[in-house]
Parts: sequence; structure tokens; C-alpha cells
Amino acid sequence: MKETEQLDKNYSKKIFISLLLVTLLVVVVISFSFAAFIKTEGGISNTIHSGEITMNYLEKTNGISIENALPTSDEKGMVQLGENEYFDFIVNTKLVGNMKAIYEIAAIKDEASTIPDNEIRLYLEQEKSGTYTKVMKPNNFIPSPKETKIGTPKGAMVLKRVVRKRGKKEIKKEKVTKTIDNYRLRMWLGEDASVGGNKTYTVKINVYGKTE
Amino acid sequence: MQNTDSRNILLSIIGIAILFVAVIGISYAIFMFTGKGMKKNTISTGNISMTYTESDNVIAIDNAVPMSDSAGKLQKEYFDFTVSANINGKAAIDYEIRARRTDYKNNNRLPNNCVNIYLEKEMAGKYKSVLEPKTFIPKDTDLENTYVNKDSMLLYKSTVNSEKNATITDKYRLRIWIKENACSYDRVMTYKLKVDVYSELSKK
Repeated sequence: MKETEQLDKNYSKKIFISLLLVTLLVVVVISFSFAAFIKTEGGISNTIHSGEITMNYLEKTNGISIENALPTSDEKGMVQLGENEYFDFIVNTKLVGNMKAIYEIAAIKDEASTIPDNEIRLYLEQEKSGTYTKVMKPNNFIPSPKETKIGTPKGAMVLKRVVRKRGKKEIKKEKVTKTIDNYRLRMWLGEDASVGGNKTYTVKINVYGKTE
Repeated sequence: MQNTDSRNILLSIIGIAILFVAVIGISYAIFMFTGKGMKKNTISTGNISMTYTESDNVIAIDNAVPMSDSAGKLQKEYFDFTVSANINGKAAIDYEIRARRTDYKNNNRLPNNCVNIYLEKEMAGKYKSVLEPKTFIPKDTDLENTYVNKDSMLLYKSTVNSEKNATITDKYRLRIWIKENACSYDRVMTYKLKVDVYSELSKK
């Protein structure tokens, strides 16, 4: 009897120690994960803040749809404003704490596209003080040779890379930093493209984000 | 008893491993974002074709004699041709009708100033003048993106427009004759002319 009791005691002790170790392990892993994204900067007292980031991608308008497209100069393509001749979208970011976020706007080409990449022109603008201004000049579709560090997959084209970081004043005041980035995409058939044969070209816009 | 203990230990290790992977996975997932677009941005091409068609009749005047412009405009020897455009989509096409001499190497060629060229276009069922009688004068082109023979003469230029889809056919009639009192010659002379049509997307 005594022996049995002793065995039971030992067993319970083992279970308790195991649970304790597991709990300790979980705490360590979570802390390490957060700690990897914390930086202390000069001027700030020895305080560590855990951060929070929110990103949101919103498609404002219908996609571009141009039928019977004809070769178009860059001068004309950059200003086309007809129905379904441009595509507006928004990227929202919210930063709390001492966080730095990076996002990439990427064009993902539909594999069924039959117009060659070098006959398509892509152009990106961003709204600043109420006016859209160029952030990527007219370019052919140039696929990325490999996946980027931010997550844009191989074969997609990075249109723009943005870094969002909170300033020292904002961090001191413990404010939340919200940013709303409005973008406008245009796409057209390049001036030297050949016409005919009922060909198509389709892209979708994705946004990939990561913290540092 | 020992077997039960061993099994329990093994289960605990597996559970810890699963928990470890889950926590790491969740931790990493929090710090990456993907916003997937749903809207498609599409361009599809249409179709443009230009056709130049010559009639079977050609101008072949043997033993031609000089004549007045009024007589030349009415002579029954003429050359008909057609310029057609088939456009899918909204487009404007500029085209030029040009003529070039093809007998530069011929020692018996009539000089340019000896022959008048006259062009008409069919409008509302009737042929009307678009180039009044004129001798051959090479002129440069207004087309910017098309190679044009610089030794050719501009006879007429026009634009075809399409709002959505259009098939447009323009008919032309060409006449040439030896000008009155322009030249004198003492042997058989020739004059050979060829018509070309050049076109490009309008810049307007």
C-alpha cells in the first residue's frame, strides 16, 4: 500500500513538473517572438513596448476594362480618366508602439494573358494633398525573379514599396499612427504594340506587408 | 505500469511539440499581411486592317498628245482604286495617297513638268476633284511613325474615324495627261507612275 502511494506521489510530481515546464516554454516562446520586433532607441528610457500593427487593403473602384484597345502613347495613357480606364485602391496601416511596417503593392499577372509583357504599360499614382501624383513612371510588366523579403511572390511585379515607421515624438506620446494611402493604377497598350488577334492581358493588385 | 508511464511520457512530448509549433506559427502569422485583390484589370485588343485595292484597268496611253486640263479631266482613260479600313473599336486612322515615278533609269522618260496628274474621290455617288491638275512634285509626309518614300508625291490625305466598329471604303479615280505647250520631244517618251497608300493611327 505504502509503495503504491509512493508511486502515485512520484507520478503526480512528474505531471506537475511537466506542466510547469510546458507553461514556461510557452511563455518563453511568446516573449521571444515579441522581443524580436522590439527596438530601443536613444533618448527613450529603458522601456520596452510591445507593438501592434494593422493593415488593410480596400479596392475602391471597379477594375480597368479596356476593350478593342489600340496602341497608346504614354502621354495619353497617363491621363486616361474614362470609365473603367483606371483603378483606385487604398492601403491603410495602423501602428502602435515602436513598430516599423513595410508593404509592397504588387501586380499579379493572369497566366491566361496573351499580350506580351513588353507591350503593356503600367502606371501608378498616389494621392497627396488632394492631387494624384506619379509614384511609378510608365513601365512594362517586369516580373520579379524571386520572392521578395516582404512576401511578393516570384513572377509578380512590385509597383511600389512603402515603409511606415513611427516618429520619436509619436512614440513618446504613445499615440496610434494611422495612415491612409490612396493609389490610382492605369494600364494601357504600349505605343509599339501590334493590334489584332483578339488578345488579352489581365492583372490583379495584391498588397503584401511585414513588420521589422 | 512501466509501459503506461512510457506511453504517457511519449504523449506528453508529442503534445508539447504540437503546442510549440502552434505557438511559433501563430506568433509569426501575426506579423505578416496579405491583401488579395479581387478586381481584375483587363485590356483586350481589337482589330484594324487597311486595304488598298487596284482595279483591273490601268492608264496606258500610246501616242498620247498634249491636251488641255478641261479635256484631260474628262478623258476615258483612268485608273480606279479603293482604300478600305476595317476597325474594331474607337480609332482614327490617317492615310496618305502618294505617287512615285518608277522609270528613273529610263533615258526616254518624260520630265515631271510635262505631265499633269489629277485625282478624284467618289462622294455621294459622284467623283469630285481632291487634287486639281498638278505636275509631279515630291513632297515630305505628315505621317510621323511610318516610313514613306521621300521621292514620292502626296496626292491626297484623309482620316477614317470609327466610334465603335466601322468598315469604311473610299474610292478614287486617277487621270494623267501630257500638258499643252509644256514640252517638245522628238522621240518616243514614256511616263510611268505607281500609287501607294500609307497609314497610321491618328495623333489627333
